[in-house]
Amino acid sequence: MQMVSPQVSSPSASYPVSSLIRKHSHTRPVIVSVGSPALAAYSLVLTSLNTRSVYCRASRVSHGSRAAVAAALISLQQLPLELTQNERLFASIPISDWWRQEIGDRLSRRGSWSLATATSIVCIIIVSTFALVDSLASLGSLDSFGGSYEGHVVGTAWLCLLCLVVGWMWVPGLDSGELKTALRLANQQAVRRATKESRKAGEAAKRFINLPREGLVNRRMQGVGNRVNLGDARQEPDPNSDLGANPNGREDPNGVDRFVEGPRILQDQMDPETNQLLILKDLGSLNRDERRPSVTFNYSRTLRYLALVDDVFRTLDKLTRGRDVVGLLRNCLMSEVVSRILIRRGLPLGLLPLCPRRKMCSLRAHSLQCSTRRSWPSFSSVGQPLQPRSS
Amino acid sequence: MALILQCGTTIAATLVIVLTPPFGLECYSLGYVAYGTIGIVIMFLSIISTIFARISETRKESTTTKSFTAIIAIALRRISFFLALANGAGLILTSCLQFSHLLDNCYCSARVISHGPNSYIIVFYDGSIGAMRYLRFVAILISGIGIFIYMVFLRLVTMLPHRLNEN
Repeated sequence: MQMVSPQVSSPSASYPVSSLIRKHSHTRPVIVSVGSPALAAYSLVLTSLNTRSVYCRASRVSHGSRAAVAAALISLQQLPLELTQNERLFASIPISDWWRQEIGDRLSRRGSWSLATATSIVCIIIVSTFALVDSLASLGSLDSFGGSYEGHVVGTAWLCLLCLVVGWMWVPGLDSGELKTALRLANQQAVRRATKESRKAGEAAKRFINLPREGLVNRRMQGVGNRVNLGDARQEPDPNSDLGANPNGREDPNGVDRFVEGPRILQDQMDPETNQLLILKDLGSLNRDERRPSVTFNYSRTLRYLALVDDVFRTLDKLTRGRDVVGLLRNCLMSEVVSRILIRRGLPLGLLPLCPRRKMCSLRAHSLQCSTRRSWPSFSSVGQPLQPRSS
Repeated sequence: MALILQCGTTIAATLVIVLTPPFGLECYSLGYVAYGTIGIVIMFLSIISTIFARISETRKESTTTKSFTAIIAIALRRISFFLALANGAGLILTSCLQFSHLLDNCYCSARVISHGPNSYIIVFYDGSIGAMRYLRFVAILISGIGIFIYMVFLRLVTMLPHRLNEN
């Protein structure tokens, strides 16, 4: 019998969402971005490149909810997420209406004000005021030939913070509370969707089992149906006495299994903590930076994020395989050939030999392949032509 | 890109000081060079830490490799954070010192750090002030070019190519 139980395949168990996201501490991003503008700038660039690669990958999937999924994925860069290996939940990713309405709307806002932004701006204002005062003061003094460069120098050094502030406005960045809510909604809805589907499957199985009962007298089947339906163990018939009623001596195992599956899944999925579509990874001190939901720390999540994106879109590909064979074939051929060439030539530098999963390599190649292309709409799938950019 | 941004602004800040008549490194400019360098070092340390964390997370076969890489990752992360803390404090301190002209003493103005015993202080300067204005213009240009390249790149990347259709 196929056991339907929540599988958590990863070594670290999944915990309640709220306890895992570290409190949106404002001091750390400020310290890091003042201390090393290079790091903050690096994670800004990574964030925007990831956004672009998600868009590019989504344009080659022909599933209906690809826009919503892409929007949600782009904004979930701020959390260390992994896709569950639970197959039922896995199959319920494309919830087109819901992803668009809830997560899409909630997450598509970009550029929120945070304390890091405000601090940087305040610093810049103070520094430029001082510089102005300093240059004015040194105008009248005698050693004005060399004395007035201080303000200029300091102003130049602080100038890169201004760039970071402007960059934070362009890149999706959200509050930790909003992220939490969105993630909880995502998991709840995935579970609800999977439950609905399994209930449907259970009803279909019930019809399938009940069908022969009208013609033949099959008391064994009837007994099983009652037991499962009511959840009552008393009505379970004695297997020894009823063995002869079935002409084959045994019941159809598939039918009964499918029948049993419905209620059991319902029971399992009452617990939302263990049934999560998107798992927040907690590795203790190892990924403490990853659990800080600030754009400044996006650099630490990027490897995991690329794997997540690849998982999601691979599932979408799987789901649409039957519908759009030609487009999928073309996409697969293109991506495989191009990624192989790119990897051979060593164009994706640096990270590739170090990334342990092969799929990340192919994703990297995808993004490169897309960024070299100019004609975006022609690269989309056959089934759904893309609209040109309206704004 | 991040390197361009950081280097551009830091080099520009340093250049103004270094090329102002008593040529050479001074206390402030040394501070700026250190600031830029440490910033870049922090960036690389963090990236390496991320990669090590990922390796230790995904390896399943050997526990020794796993724990070893985990230790490296955590250590690098902490080191880079404390460096960032010190670096930021250093930048703020340098700015304060510079505005309050606290370091305008003989040792610093004569740029002993780079010239050693042969250092000198300019008491009377009869060169052209125009050259120095030109120098400042060049410095602004360098930092501006760095910032411009970075911002244009970021803007181009953040502009998404098209809207995915809505159904």
